[in-house]
Amino acid sequence: MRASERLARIFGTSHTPRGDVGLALVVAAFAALLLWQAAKVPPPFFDPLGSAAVPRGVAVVLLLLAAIVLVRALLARPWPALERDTGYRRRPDVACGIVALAVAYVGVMAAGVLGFMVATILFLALGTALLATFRRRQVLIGLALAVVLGIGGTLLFTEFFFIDLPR
Amino acid sequence: MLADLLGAFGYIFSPVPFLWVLLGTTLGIFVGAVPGLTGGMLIALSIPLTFTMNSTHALVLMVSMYVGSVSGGLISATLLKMPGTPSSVMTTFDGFPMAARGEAERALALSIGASLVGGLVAGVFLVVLSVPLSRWATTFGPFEYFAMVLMALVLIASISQGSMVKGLLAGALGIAFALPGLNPSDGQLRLTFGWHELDGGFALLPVLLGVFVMSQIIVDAFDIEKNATPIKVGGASLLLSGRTWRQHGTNLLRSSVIGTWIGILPGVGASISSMVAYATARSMSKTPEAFGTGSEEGIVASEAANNANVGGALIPLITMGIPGSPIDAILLGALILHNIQPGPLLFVNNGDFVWALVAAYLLANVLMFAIMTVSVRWLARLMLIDRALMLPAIFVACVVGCYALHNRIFDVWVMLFFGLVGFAMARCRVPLGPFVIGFVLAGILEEELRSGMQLTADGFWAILDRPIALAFLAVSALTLVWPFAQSALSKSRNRRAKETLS
Repeated sequence: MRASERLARIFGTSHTPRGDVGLALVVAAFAALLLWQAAKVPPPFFDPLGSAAVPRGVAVVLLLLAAIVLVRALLARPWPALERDTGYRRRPDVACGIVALAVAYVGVMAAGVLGFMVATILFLALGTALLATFRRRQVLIGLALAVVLGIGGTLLFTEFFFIDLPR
Repeated sequence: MLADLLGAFGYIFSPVPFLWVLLGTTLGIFVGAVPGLTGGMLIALSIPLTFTMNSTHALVLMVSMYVGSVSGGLISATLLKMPGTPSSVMTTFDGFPMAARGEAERALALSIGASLVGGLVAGVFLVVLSVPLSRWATTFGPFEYFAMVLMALVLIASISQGSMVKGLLAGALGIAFALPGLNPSDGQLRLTFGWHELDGGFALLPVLLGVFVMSQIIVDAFDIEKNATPIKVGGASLLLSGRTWRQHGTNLLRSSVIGTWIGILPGVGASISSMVAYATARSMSKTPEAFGTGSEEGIVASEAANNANVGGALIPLITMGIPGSPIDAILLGALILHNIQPGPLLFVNNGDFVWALVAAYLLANVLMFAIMTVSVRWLARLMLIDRALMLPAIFVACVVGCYALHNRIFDVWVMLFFGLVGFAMARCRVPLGPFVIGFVLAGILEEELRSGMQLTADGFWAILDRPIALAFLAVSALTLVWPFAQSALSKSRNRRAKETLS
């Protein structure tokens, strides 16, 4: 049995090699960040463990696992063709759009540009329109729901749950 | 024990707790029935709404949601070939073919009945095992507790779905994200990058909402065009004869015990239980070829096991503070947020509370059976709810929940960040369960290790004098080494086979 086959048998075969290469690199960078920050922690006085020991240990484990993930991905070459799901069309554009909209929604409230009620009505209406791929009927239902939920939700959270929402 | 349980039943049947159990079970079934919504999502979203509630009512509500959501998944698994929750995947293999050939009512009746039996069998184990286990756990010192948490993390990572390496990676990432902030033992700030918002670390709720809810919203948006037409449920009765249940008795009991046992193992969710029970039922069946084509045995095994898993998973949670499944990690977080210290002393300090949870669990199973039997035809229509209308509203609920925690937007950003992390992990097939459990258990792991080392002059090596701790460490090591040993064994077997051939 070849060494690569043995490694593949032990650690399993990578089914998502492209993603795994990215995952390994991101995890390794994150572990390096942990080590860098842990190095800034002063040594312990009375505590035998100190505050830096666990972050260092976890960073080393992460580096080791990232290396294994990378090796698994590289051993999986030649990489299979990208997955194609024929059952339905995947919509990364809609997913990116909803994330961008969510960031904008939180951002305008954080910056104090809009209060919770107005921002929520806008987010709900636009979010529904985007997820419904701008089909007219759903857009209109979404708009009505947005107004009801925006006003009703604000009243519910502030008057019933006493939450001090962004104004 | 029995007196405690009866007392708890007396409490749970009083109007307010009963209504919470009824509401929780109904909401759970609703969420379980809608593909794209999960029990974890519902429970995480409910936590902020329970801040002002009595702790017992809050946890009773969440345990009922847990029971309902695992059961609700069978509806879409049977009628839509789309598991409402991951634990119903195995039910699709036989439930849908059976429904497609015109036996939808029988498939649903078998699933609902098996869910009830699974839940009740696990309930018996929950009642019988909890007290002795928690008594045993109270004898643990810091090293035993540290070794047990470590074992739990290793088990979670290695038995969770997907590869062991990715499971371990998820667990380690969860621990890493729990580290920033003030270290309570020496007052040192660490890994905060100079951000004062991080002085208290990442709060549990935004992390839970991000990983379980926000990431699911992104996944659902990604798959927004995934639609299917459900099979219609006819007017036939959903109550089966005693003869049918006797025919499936052995399978029901076996699958329930498998589900309970796997539930007790830390971190292993209901989907693994139903897979193991399904595989066992097939290997012991007189007609294994029927599995996957609409076999009644397959449906019974899958549904009995996934519901039994819920009860089994509650055992380590209430006796030792170790989550038996990813959803239990959320429940553990809810306990902490409600100022109830989980762990071996939970029974000693909050015995009535724990028995109320056990009683709520048992009642939720019975209510689940009643609700689903009566209203499954109506519930089946829930699967057609437009996700485009639901997802934005769910996100707004997440935002309010995170913001309400400390009245600061930072927690909302944290939720968004962990939503993206959860989505990226799901895309790379890194399991989310070990991540959340690692995040929840990291604090306990470090605290117990530190306490153990402070109690002795020998430092970490004093653990070698503690047999129970050593046993836990040995199990962890064996779990990690097993794939290597398996590889070596198969290598020698191959060599021997070649020698025999030559």
